[in-house]
Amino acid sequence: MTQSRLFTYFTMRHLILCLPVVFVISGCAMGPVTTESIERARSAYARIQADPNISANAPVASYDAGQALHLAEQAKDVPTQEHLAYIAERKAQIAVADAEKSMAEKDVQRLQKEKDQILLKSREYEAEKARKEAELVRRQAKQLEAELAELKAKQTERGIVLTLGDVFFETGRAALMPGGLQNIDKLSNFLTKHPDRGVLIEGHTDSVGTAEFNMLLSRSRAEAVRNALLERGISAQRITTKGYGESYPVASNKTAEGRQQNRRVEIVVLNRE
Amino acid sequence: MKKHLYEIACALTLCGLVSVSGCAGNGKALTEQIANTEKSIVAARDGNASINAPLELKLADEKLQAAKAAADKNEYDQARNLLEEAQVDADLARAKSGSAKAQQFRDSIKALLKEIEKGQKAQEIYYY
Repeated sequence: MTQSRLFTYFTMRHLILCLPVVFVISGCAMGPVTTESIERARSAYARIQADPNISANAPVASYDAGQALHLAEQAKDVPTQEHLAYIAERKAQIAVADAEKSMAEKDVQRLQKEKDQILLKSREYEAEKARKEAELVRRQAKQLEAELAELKAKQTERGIVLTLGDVFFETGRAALMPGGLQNIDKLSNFLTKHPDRGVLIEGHTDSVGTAEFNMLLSRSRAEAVRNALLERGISAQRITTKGYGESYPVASNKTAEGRQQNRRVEIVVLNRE
Repeated sequence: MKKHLYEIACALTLCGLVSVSGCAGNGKALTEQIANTEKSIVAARDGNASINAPLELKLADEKLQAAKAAADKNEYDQARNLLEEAQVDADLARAKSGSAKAQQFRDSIKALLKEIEKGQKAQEIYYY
């Protein structure tokens, strides 16, 4: 009886007194532990240390991850370390994700700016294109005007009319003289430059001689001009000829001067279809 | 004998006091912590985490449930640890889906830009 009571008393006493001592001893003896989870946390944090972009783009999360890892490193027992290391690993991953997000957002801002600039450039380009096209049309009109002036042509309702007088033909004959050929060269240049235009060649005479002869002569003169154009490479489909004989005088046949004006070939450059 | 009884009584009272005060304080803080973690999980799910970070979201959810069960059994330390882990899981889920969304947006703008540039080049070739 006494022995058992003594035992109980002794045990109880020692147990209570020894508890803190046991704790302190066990704590000291174990020191910081090293588990597999701390290794994972370390390697997750190593990624932050290796990439300066991460701490630059997620400074707070990176700092938190470092602090969490530090806490986990200090853990004195395995379950605590596993818990703290898990948290440290997650925090490191959060820092990485936050940094990636921030970098992507910065890229978006940059790309938006780039897109705006490209669209602006595109609009400027469109305006420039319109300006250039207008300029081209104006230049073409001016050029046409200059070319027509060179041919001494007149703009009429039927189109551009160019008159070759009889000085370009021998009297009573249809062959073109060299002076006439020069004008034909200009005309063929013009037609080459403006492939969408055709010509109507009309021969006219004065009233000297029979009407039948004059009709034939007027046709032959128109044909002579046509042949000259064909020789210069103008397609036959673009050329129409007609002889009107003496029926359409432009001046009186009573004077020599008037007759001279009536002996002519009119070339109508047809308007664009 | 009397001394012996006195000591036991003292120890028991001390134990009781510690555990009771612990319970009351812990319970309140834990409820708050549970609510916070639940909020974080909902926020992550709203941020499309179920597509971009499904595993982290699931872990967070599971740990939250486990924490609630531990709290019901008065295992407060266990519950707190689980909640802390659920919290970082939810935070990671949210961060990951935020990152995925930003990257998707960036990629779509990049593709758009490429298309515009391609179109412009074709136009320039056509007109010059």
